[in-house]
Amino acid sequence: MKGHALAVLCFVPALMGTDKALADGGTVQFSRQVGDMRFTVMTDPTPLRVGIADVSIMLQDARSGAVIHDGRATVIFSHAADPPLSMRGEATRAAATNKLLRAAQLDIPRPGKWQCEVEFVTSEATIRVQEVLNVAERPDRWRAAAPWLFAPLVPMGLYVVAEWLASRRKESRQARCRP
Amino acid sequence: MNSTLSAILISWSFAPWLAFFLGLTAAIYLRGWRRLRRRGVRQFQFKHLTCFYAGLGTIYIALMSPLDALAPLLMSAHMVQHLLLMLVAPPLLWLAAPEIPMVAGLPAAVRRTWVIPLWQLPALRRFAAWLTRPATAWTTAVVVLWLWHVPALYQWTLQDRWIHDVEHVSFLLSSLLFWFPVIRPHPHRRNDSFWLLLPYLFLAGVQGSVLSGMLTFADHVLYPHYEQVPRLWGLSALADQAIGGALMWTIGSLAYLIPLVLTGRLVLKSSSAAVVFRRSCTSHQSLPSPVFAGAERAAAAPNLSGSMAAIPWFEQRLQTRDSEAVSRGGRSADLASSVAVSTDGLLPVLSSESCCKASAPPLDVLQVPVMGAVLRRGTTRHVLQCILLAAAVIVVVDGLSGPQLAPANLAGVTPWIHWRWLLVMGLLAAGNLFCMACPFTLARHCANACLPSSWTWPHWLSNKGPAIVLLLLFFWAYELFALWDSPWWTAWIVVGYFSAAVAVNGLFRGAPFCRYVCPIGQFNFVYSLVSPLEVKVRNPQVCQTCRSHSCLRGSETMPGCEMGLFQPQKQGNFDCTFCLDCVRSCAHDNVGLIAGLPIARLAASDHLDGGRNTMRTSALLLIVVLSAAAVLSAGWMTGLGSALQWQAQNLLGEYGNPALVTAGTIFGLLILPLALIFLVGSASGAAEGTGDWRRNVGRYAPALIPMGLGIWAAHYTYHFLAGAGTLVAAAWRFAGDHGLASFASTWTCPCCAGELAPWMLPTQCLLLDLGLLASLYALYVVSRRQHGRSRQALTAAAPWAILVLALFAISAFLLLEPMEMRGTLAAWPGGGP
Repeated sequence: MKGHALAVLCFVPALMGTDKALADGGTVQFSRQVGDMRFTVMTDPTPLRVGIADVSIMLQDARSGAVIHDGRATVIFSHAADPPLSMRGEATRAAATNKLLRAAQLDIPRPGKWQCEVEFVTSEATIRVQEVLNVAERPDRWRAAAPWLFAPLVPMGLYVVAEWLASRRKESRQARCRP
Repeated sequence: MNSTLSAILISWSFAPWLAFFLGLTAAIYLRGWRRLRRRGVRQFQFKHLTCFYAGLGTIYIALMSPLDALAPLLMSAHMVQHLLLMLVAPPLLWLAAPEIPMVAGLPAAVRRTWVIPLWQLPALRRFAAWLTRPATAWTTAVVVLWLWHVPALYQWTLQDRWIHDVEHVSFLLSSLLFWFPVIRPHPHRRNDSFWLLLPYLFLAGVQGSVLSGMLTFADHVLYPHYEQVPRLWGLSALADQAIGGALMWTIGSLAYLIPLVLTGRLVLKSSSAAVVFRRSCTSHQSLPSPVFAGAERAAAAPNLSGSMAAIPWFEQRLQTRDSEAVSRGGRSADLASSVAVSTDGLLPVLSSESCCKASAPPLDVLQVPVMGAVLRRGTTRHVLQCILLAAAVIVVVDGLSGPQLAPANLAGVTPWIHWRWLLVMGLLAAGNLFCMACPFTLARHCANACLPSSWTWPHWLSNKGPAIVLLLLFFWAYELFALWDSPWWTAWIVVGYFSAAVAVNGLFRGAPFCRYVCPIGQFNFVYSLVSPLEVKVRNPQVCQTCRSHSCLRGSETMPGCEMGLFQPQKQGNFDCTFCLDCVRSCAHDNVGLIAGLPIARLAASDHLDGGRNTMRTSALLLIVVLSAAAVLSAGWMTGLGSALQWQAQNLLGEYGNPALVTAGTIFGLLILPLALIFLVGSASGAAEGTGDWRRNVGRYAPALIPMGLGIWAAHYTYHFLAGAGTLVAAAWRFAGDHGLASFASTWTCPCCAGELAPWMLPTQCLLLDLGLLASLYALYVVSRRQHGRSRQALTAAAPWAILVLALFAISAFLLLEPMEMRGTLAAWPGGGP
């Protein structure tokens, strides 16, 4: 039993870590050049769905390609529903794994067409870029939970194998003992 | 430093599963390596350890360094990542000869259950031999390499993280296969010619050059993803692709060229007889036992001794060992002894007979330095009780005098969100910790001291019946009066609890409140049966000579067990309050807090009544009621439960909800579970051939405990994770109300502000999974104990397994239903307190 328990326990952290929020960019949704600056907006998950979404922005000097780290970037998602919905979050480097990006996490409540606006504020100017994004339905909870709910099949299968191995060993031992 | 570069250098990611896997692997290797070294096995030197850690470090750098962050932006960075996984990490890992240290480093139980039986499977060994053949290994590595570079697949890996992970794993595994025939790590012998390595490596270099040439000289971007992502340093996607191809070309060529040259030198300088260990071999012999590997090398070694200077160090390692073996005795008559010496420490690792010997004694928490001493002291328990008593007083005060808004009141959040979760987690992680620190017991002791305590608890009530009735009443009242939403009622429940403890123990001898009345205690007693810690005797033989029975009767200075548990007969934690009086009173210091695998204990008989049978029926009923309550209480808080309550109200008016809750409680907690238990017990009894459903239920029903605890844990984890922050807000308000701190007007309810953490659902599912697995295992063990490893064991356990699976399925369904965040939903008045 101890061996099985250890084997099962080894699975747990491995399984727990798989649902990570990468904040490493994801899919490029749009890229705009405004003046000397280039805005590239990426989202994760792919496709963008209802629920927590990671929105990453890369701000670059359009000529040199150098990444711009100063200024404040805010992501605003708005939906022309009745009543209108809007949410915003500051995109920061701290929230991004890839420090070339600035990331913000937003909880998108409904599917449909959302206007994604990035507001970039420096001491000199405020720049806005926007694009309409399609947000898909939330994935079915059963589908999302299926890997976790069917996870016991793995240790159960392993246990069956262990039992089979044990019975084989027992049989071979008995065969050896026979005169 | 350039700001872009500095940003890249700090872009380290962290993948818990990978860190865990690498850390675990490193720890197992180190443990095995140290064990082997302690046994005097000198084949495993420091350089092996260094190689292994360098290999793991390379994997870490490839997957968690800034390379990983850059990979979606730069194809060249992605290529370096792959090259590390394919050309650097695998050779380093094989040079560490990892197999024997890894096996030696595994816990004995894992070796015994898994490694040795698998090692002895001829089919598996044949498969491994086939897989590590040069032709198979080469083909696999090349196919995997080319397949993942097909534009559609490569593009897919950049869009889906799971596929990306699969790609990395397949690169690593196929490359491990590829490098295996090249290095042939100890204890494997080379059963093919070194000549074979020349075309093996050369052709690998050629195909790599073709692929890298295609990447380098392509006139368009092969992977469109890199055309869409922002470009760094003005590097175009095409130039980036060319750099990636060039890196693959140069690094790949070097990686194949170095071993090619070393092998060529070895081939040229050594005689053909020395190079060929065996001219022909059968496939199943390529994974030899260490004994045979040593013997055959020892036989071949004389021919190798002349080529020491010319061979790579990893081959030198093998030859050194072989030469040592030969120097101890070259004649065949001495081979056995030389092999025995050269493989000293290896055979014990792999032989089932020697590694399955006596395991270490179980951990006794009371013997852990500091912790053991602290737990043994009676004052520790009093301190814990005083802390919880103070918490209870605060809850009562706030519940009676504070705002009647559950999320803002300590009585509205502490008992229903935090305490319940801590109690369940305490049971899962250690044992019956709440009873150990129970403040009601403190009141009970006061009552014993101040009141006569002269009556005897009625015999007809000396079972779990009173507690079951109270539990049913509680579950009924909880739903009907929405206790979670009423700080005032909550406070009165706590007051009522203290009053009941004082009254029962003030009038009756012993500890009838804990034993027969307290519903929380019964919950703890049942579920502590699957806790990892148990109060039990250390050495049963000592108890055989004991005549004082002080664990039960007490000593001159210490009381004995108030619950009437006699340690030598006690099995499991049922009825044990973890007061540790028996530990302190035992004249032989023979009672400990022993760690063990709880599920194995469930299979033991008579663990429900501490060796007595008088309470067995009521204890079984208690288990059934608690298992049903786990499902029902989760069901009431789903949208389904709410909809039912609304419909009942619409149909029957003000009587609708009470009628529904009453009917639901009676039917859901008593009638349906008992009917199901009867059916399942009858079916299982029939399968056993006895038809005795009562005995069958007595044997199998305890296996429901882990499933029940899994459901409770998943349920309470939801409340805790959803509303943990309420404690801060409520405590802050309480402090402000009582002049202890200025209350900031900007405070808002921290709970339910948004979507719950994405790992909430996996956590809940895993708790259910663990409950399911433990219950099924317990059922199987109980059945196997009765019927052996037979078909009848499976058929007898099958009805119960179906019941457990049904509980799991219903709980999973409820888990996936929209849940009410009871007691935490209300907003602060006016947007803020």
